[in-house]
Amino acid sequence: MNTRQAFQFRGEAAEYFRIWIVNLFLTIISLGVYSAWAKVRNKQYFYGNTMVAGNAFEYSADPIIILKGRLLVVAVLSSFSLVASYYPLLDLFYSPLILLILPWLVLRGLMFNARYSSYRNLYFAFVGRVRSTYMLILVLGMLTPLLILVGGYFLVIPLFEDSLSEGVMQMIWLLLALGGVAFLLFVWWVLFNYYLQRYYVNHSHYGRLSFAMMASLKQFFVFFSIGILGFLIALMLFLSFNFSSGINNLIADSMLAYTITTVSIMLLYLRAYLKVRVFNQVWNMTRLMDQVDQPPIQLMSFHVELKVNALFFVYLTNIIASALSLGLLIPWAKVRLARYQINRMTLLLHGDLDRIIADEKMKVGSFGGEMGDLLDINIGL
Amino acid sequence: MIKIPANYFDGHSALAIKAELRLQENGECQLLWDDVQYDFVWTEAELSPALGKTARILRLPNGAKCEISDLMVLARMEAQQQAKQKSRGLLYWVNQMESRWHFIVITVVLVIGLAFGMVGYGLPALSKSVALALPISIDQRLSEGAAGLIESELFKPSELPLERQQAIATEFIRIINQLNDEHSFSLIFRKGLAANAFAFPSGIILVTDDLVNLAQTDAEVVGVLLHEAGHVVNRHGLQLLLQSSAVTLLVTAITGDFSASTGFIAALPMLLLKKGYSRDLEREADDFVLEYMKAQGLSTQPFADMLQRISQNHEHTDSIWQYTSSHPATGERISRLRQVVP
Repeated sequence: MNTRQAFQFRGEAAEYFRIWIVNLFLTIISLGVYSAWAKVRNKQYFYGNTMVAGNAFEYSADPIIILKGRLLVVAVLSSFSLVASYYPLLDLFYSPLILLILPWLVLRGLMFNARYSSYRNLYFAFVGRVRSTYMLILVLGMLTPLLILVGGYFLVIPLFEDSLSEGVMQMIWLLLALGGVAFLLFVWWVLFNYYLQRYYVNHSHYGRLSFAMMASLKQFFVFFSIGILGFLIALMLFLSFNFSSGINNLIADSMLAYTITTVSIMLLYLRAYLKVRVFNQVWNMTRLMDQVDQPPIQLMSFHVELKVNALFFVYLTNIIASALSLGLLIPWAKVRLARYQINRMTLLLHGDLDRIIADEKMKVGSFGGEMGDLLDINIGL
Repeated sequence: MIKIPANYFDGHSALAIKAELRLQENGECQLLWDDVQYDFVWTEAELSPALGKTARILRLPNGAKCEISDLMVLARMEAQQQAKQKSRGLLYWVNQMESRWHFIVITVVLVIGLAFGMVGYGLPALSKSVALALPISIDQRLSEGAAGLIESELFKPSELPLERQQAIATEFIRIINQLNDEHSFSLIFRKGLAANAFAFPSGIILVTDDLVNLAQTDAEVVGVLLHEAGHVVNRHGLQLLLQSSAVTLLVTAITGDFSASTGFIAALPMLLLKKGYSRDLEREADDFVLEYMKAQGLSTQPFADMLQRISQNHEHTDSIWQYTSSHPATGERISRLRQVVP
């Protein structure tokens, strides 16, 4: 039995605006305390308006737990910076320490969010391990690019001090070294994006079903290469078109503003392109498997088709409207974006819904204590 | 008795069961589907707060849930059982606010008012009181880069005659001693960057040869130096730092969940805000000069003349270091100073 169920987003800009402005108002007059309730209400609005197969998603986190988590973080961070301002030496440990606990915070945040997300009274879960989280975020996400940059620095610096190899050769070496660093950073960027998506999808559960991402790394390299090459070609065309008459033009203020605007729009297009390609690829290649049966049975998959130009248009108009309205149109922008993304998703069911059952082990708080979401860390998924 | 259709989810499978919920006046409830009946008491179940037009969830005592979409009938059920409930809860009132347009209009006005108040008065006042409460040692740390900047290629040693330097320095030291301030002031003469004077938070004041040459009397130079000393005494370096981090925090808090586009949106208002703050601080530094001159029974005329001359001088130099860029309009400053000329 195969059925298709379209996702549908039912939120409305005018309705969400009222929720958003009341959230903002109460957060301001409560000096931030209400922000925990605001967060829950905000999430509940988007979850509650996301429908599939006739039912909505539910977000059921307790604002009190979120508030406690936030107070803890504020207390820790402010005591850190206060101590560091009196003992400058501690400043050296301060930033690395924050980076060191960041992966743990990301993991706790993902676990917390999944734990309070449900659909038809079956809960999601995130089962990422501390070790793999640190490998991904600390080692691959932070240390690897640092290593590439430091390595590149030590590669390039001797070229300037070495007075023997002057002129053309030095220029060639310099370009080669810079190109090498750029290439390594590109490879790192693709790898990090791929493993981040895989980490997120493959550790997610819905009831007893586990998510499995089948998208290949090769596909990611293709998309990112096309994206970055297209961007570079567009950039060169633009620059050669406008600055062929000499670099002096660049100095003029109006010219500078024009250049920055054009390049920002190009970057936004690149962002829309990568978002669409990655989103479509990841979701179209994700399966929900029942691992209890051997061999595992595939119960659900997705069909998603975002379009680059359409998403770019939504992004661009959202930014313009939000900026011109001094932020008052942000709710409208958020609803439009959610509507576009969600309405283009379809759930493919391979089998009966009553086969999807709760994981009884998971229900009995096998996650340990509820740490709460310590920080709103969005890792861009 | 009130009847309402509900989707029943038992919590064990993802099956949605069409059921009917019946609420008796005494608070007893029956949930019926197929040939099954589940009984419970209204007050033992937990109803999710109303939110827009989203369906509401009734959490049953046995861990199962009901999704109810008919919000009108559900509201009637709630109203009927109101007397038995302890209180309506915070989120009931939040929803009341969200549902009424005149509340929303008031809220919008209040939010805009609060935002302007906070940005225009709250933040500067807060950062000022925080800055003045923090120990002087922080100003030292803020100026750690000063020595490097002074010795950098931007400046060359001063070419002013030593007597002129000494005369200005003597007068400056005499005034500083009267100020009775905790900062340890020092005066440095350098050549470069057109007619300019800078103050570092720790109390180092740098004045360029062009500025001294532009002045017709030493009193005019001293006016400018006193303006810079005003920045130091009022801890403006620290204030600017606190203000700009607070602005960043505020903008992130408002636009926060709006992902990477925040950068685009926030950049311009943040820049304008910071410009505005530094203008306010320039005004405060002018006031510092004014008060000192007034207390000493001196004329503010030389300082006003000096400002005039600096602004004229900048009109025909192409220096990117526009002394006046983050300062209030010079005309306005000069007229403020002239008003109090004794």
